[in-house]
Amino acid sequence: MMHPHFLTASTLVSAIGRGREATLRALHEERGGLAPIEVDGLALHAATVDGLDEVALPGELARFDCRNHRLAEAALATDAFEARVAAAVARHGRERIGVFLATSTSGMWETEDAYRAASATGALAADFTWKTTHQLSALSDFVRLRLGLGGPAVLISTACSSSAKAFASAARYIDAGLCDAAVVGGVDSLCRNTMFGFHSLELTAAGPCRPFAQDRDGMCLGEAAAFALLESEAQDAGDIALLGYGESADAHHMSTPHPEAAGARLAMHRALERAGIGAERIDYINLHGTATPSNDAAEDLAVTAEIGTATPASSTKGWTGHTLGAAGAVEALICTLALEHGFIPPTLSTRQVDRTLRCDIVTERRERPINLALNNSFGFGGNNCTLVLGRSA
Amino acid sequence: MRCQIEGVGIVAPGLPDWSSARPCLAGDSIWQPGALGRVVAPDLPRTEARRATQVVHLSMTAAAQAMAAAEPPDTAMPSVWSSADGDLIGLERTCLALAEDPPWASPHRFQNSVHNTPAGYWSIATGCRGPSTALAGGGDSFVAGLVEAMTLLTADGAERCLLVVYDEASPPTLERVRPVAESFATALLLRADGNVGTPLELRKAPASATPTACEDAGLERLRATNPAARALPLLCALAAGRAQTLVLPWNDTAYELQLGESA
Repeated sequence: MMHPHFLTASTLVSAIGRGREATLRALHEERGGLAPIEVDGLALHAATVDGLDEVALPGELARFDCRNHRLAEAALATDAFEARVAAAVARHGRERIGVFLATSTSGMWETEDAYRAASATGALAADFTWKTTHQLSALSDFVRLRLGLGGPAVLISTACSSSAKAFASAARYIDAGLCDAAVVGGVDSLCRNTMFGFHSLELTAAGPCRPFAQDRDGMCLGEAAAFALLESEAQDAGDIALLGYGESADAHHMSTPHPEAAGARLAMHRALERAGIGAERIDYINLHGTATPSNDAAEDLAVTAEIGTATPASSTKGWTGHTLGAAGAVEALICTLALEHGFIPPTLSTRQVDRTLRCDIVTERRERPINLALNNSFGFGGNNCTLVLGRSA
Repeated sequence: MRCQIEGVGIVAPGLPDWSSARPCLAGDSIWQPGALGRVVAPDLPRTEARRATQVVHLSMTAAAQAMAAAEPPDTAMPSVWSSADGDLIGLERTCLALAEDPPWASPHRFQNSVHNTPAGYWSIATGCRGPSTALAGGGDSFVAGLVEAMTLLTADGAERCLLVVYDEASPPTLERVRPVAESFATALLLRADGNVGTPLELRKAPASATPTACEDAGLERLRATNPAARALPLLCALAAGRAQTLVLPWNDTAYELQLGESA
């Protein structure tokens, strides 16, 4: 059984709001973030964050400027996150705080722009930067410099399980004594690669996505940044803790889930085992729930086999869109809101649940105390990660 | 943190596999880079082998060499895949297609565009369902991957962990912004304890400690340019069977690797 790691601060920015309060309000008022967009002739429903063009990166970090880092900056400047990290620096020292972040596409939008400009000139523009915008570690570099942290800095990129796995890595580093605290999270922003790519795989929905619905027809993309400060000691009596994590590989196919959901089951099983918690004690499951027909069916198999059919479950991707590498962290933080405020967010836009699926899919908000929540994140390459969050006993 | 190095793999120009690379890395012969040519991963089924990009073959070939030491095969062990930049040839093709009018995407190329593509293909090829982590650490991707792998042994209690570190040469368009001329991949099969292989101990070093360089000028140039080749001083000591303490920088800090005598 692992030691609990407390989320002593957190913040998130997605299409439904900037910060924890705004997110909570949107979840209360049933305001989702999906809307029709059109990019270079491709029309989709997506969840975009407004106002990122106005976000400026401070001082000499301007060299990191790209949509992904503006999204990161918007979150760092919200929920007093920066001040909470500064207080942790005072407690532990800057070299004892690590950075464990995730992104799948980093500064891809700007790289796509650079290649477009190059198709006229034959070469990438002289002011195109690589190391500070496109390179995956640009995000962890930006955040560690922005927050003045000197501990280990790791950038995890395992597609849609990335930022859930960042929590697992951070917990391991703390347990191995390599750092005392960790800034954990994920940031992913919209780019043509993911929009045209998911569309080419015929995985995108015609309208707002409807996870686990009878008539579900695919996923919707979103963009988000989510950060948490992880420490071994709670700072506040109400602090929610990471109690367990479980990771696995499907060893089956690059973009199709295992038919018996073997990898997903293994991730959930390992997370519960590490948390030392019986499956029957889970009060809420935040599903991966992308709303593609095969993903939801495989996850339903995994959940019913590992946890059963009686535990309330919802997917919040109808609110935020699928934020890819940020999804694990965004949904872990939605779980902390549910735990703190005692509610289960509904699966937005899903009216008629697929009759062949057996999970207890929540389609109307439920008010009830929650002590333990489980969050699934599954990605391309058959990469799976499950987190267990809750109040530490 | 401590572990044992049980298996080693390498793929680079003039260093096609661990046994042929050993004399050169041990300092008994001069490195003759030459062209790497097309690398074909031994584990991949034919359909996957055709679809996989060069970076998948490069990394999986190094992985297969290191895994030859794992007997019997372990299908539950964790693996760590670290690369600063991943699949650049695939990235360039994606960007060129998206720059066309109208833009388009290939479904195959898209599903293979994630950073964990080699990890995914390797798990499919070997049937391994253990935790699989793909990460990036810029120029320090080797030490970032090594530390991640050692935490899986130390904190998660894994008996073994495969570490694969790779970065490919830049396609022409990216040469100016990312000057890496030669591809490099290495793999280490790490074991928590036991009497096999070479002991390795990792600890924090003073930030002022000087990073260990390669003695050979050619290998030193390779080490300095390709992030994955930062493993070379460790590989040279392993090849020579030499106990040595090495310094690897990581951002504004440094780690010390103490390599012991082989069992």
